[in-house]
Amino acid sequence: MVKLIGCFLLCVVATRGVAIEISYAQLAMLQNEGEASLQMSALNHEVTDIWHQHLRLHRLAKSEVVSVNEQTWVSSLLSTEAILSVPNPDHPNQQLVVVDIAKQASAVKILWEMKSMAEDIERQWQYGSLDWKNVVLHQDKSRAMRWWLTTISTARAEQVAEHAIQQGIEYVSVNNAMLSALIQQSRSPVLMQYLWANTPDAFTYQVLQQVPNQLNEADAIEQLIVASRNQPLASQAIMLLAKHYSHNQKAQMFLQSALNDPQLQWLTAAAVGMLKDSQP
Amino acid sequence: MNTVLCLLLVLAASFGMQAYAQQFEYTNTQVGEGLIPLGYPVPIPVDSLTPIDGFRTYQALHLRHLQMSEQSATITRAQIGNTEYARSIWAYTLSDSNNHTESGALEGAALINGGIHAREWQSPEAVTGYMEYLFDHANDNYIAQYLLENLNLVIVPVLNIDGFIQTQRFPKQVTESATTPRDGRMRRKNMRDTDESLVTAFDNLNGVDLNRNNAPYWATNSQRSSGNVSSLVHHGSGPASESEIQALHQAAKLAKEDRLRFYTDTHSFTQIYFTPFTENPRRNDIAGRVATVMRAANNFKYDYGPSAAGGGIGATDEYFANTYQIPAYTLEIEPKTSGAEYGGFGVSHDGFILPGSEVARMRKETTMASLSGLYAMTEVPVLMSAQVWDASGENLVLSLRWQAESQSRVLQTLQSGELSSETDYQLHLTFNKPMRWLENGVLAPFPAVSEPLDIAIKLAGIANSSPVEWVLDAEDGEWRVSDNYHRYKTDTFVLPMRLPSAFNWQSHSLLFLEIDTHDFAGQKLDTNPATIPDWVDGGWQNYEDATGNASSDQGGVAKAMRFIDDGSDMYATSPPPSPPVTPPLPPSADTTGGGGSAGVIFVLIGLIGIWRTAISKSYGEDKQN
Repeated sequence: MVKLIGCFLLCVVATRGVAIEISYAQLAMLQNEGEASLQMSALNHEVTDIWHQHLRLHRLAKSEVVSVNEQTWVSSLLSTEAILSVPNPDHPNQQLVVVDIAKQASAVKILWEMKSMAEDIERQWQYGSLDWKNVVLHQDKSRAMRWWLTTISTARAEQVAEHAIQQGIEYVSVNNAMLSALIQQSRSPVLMQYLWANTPDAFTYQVLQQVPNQLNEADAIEQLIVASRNQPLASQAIMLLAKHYSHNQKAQMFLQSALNDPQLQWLTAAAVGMLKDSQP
Repeated sequence: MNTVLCLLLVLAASFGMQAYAQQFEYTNTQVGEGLIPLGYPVPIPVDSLTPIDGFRTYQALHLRHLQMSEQSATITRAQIGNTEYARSIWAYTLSDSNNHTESGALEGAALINGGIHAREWQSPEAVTGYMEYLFDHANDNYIAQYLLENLNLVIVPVLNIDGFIQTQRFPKQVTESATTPRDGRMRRKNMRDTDESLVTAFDNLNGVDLNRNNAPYWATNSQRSSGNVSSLVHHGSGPASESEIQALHQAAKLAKEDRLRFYTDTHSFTQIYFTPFTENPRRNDIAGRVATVMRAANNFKYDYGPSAAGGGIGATDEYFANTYQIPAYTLEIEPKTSGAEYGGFGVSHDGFILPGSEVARMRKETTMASLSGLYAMTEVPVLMSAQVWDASGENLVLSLRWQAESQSRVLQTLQSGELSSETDYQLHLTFNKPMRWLENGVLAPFPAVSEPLDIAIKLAGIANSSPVEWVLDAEDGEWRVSDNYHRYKTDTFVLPMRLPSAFNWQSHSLLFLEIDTHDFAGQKLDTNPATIPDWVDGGWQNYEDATGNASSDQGGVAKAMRFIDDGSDMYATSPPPSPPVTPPLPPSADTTGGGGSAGVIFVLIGLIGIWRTAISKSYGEDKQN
């Protein structure tokens, strides 16, 4: 009976977990020693238990096939308070969390679900039943689609982009996240035009920044000039033109005209005139 | 420097010591060997001069700073030093061209530092946001204009330029481990003895933590500061051994060291204001109060963490707090714990990678908070003038104004007349600063610190040898926002005024205004504007309270605005400080005095409640001056 109660308490503790502060030296020991030797180390067993959970979760996040037991185990960790932290180097009484098992378990579950949805998307694509409305309007499916796009070839991505233009532009064109994902994989100039015309957000700026790396010179200049017509994008587009294509006649002509445009004047002057003063 | 590194590389290679660092890469959701998924897009720096929802490249930030200084008469730049890689370090002064406040005091100075730790990208964006706000709102007749006209603000947008550029060169890559990532995107230190490659492992961990390189507690805490060059918190070879820290000292000189009264070093993350205490309790108290003001600006989402006097870790806030006895902070910008607060996976160190979609909001919130702190430290509030106009607003009846003359102020009577009973007037009170918080141009509470009205006004004095008091109903007045303010929105309070039939100007030997209010930072009025307040040795000098104490840092109820002056000592028989703002007292039927308790007052309220007019009168021993 006593043993049973003890086991029960131990299980509860294991499920609830504990927050433990370790030193940087102990963390280095965890990172450097193999799993087997950790069993023998002088570290507190609760610390090594959490580290083992951390390593296992790390492996499971990458797994292509997951057993029911593994799924159950990950689910059991979602509410654990098992945390490893190190002293925050900045402040005497603060810690910096380096391992948070519940958050890691949650991330693993999200990644599994995302991959599962991506497999559905792959099937729908293969069977020609991809429904853009369903994908774009469903947050998790949208995320899965964006992830799926990173796993396919450029040629396939171009086909998917064309499909989006033909079958789902009504939904795709107003969703900067989806447009960005499609553009990054397909480099579709048509979808870029939609993105530059939308109200910019964090996705837009990131895509625009990649234009010089993703397109040939002529196409990039064309896209940057179009983007510059959207006021919040103007500075970035002009600076990229000045930075990468100041040797190009078309870019030069555009920059010259921008210098005479009251809306773009100071942005252009700063980008062109002061570029030589800056110290990257 | 580069030559030395090349030599080291050659030596290392020739002795077979060349080691290649394992690299890891941050991703959104991609998993795999060497990948660290964050759960949100990994921001890459963007070449935009204008502020965006994202992080800007150093080059873009620098051009933006240059552009603002070129286009603004109130922003000037100065080179304050060079980095390890010989890049120029710049400081920007944001102030008008004179050294005096609009109320005649010598301007104080403030220094804000950004980008001391390379990986903390929130910092350069935040401090650039402060500059952009002041640039865009230089003529707003409100806080931006007030700060530019009354404070000498120096901002160093990026101190550790070499390190910052190194993190931006590798916006997704790190070395060492996923749990304790170093160099690349996670470089913290400067670039001493470090090349710009991640591949060569031998130098990736080198560099000096610039926030451990400072007196007076340099190398005194072995737990959070280290002599090991590869330590994350390596303190360098001596206090201020690093050229970047020497540049920061130059920035203090640029601001004028003897005028400094505020310092913030801007970091991320943990969403907190840290401040070191010193042996000066007045300074500590004010540092706490100003922290409250900055936290209030964002409804206290930021925490507060003071640390005890007498020890430290070699941080810059300790240097400024102890050297200059000023409120000095380490601001750790959001998040509080991790990227999980934005839907991310919460992996180790992801708090340093704020999602691009949060940057514009973060910039705005930190701007409002920092400007509020600067507002509190620029000046204490002073009632500068009082005017009584006739009801039409066309004829000035009475006008008093404090005029600065050298090191003091003199109360000047610009218009003298008499007030009559049963006559409508307008009372205009003008202060030296904006007094109320505005949100979208509308008066709003400043959370837990001030309410939109928060003012109590009386006329008090001696009539027929007895103390008298005429309570004015402040509810009928308003802080002027769109017009009729003096220089800044909400620097003027206008109140309709009508004195009852019992009022007789001629019977008074003393008649003055009694104003109980505070600025939106909660600072009460300087009770003696004749002596000009200044920041000296860790406290306010000449900031008199209700008893005339000039070193309590409290302020009090202003009574210096005398329409009829009998020459008596303002503080001779001062009552205790007034309680918080209360509804105006109705006039009293008891003209013989003796109403010395709250109970009596309530009885009087009941008896003559029907007299609820804007102006009332009461007599009582409890109201004696």
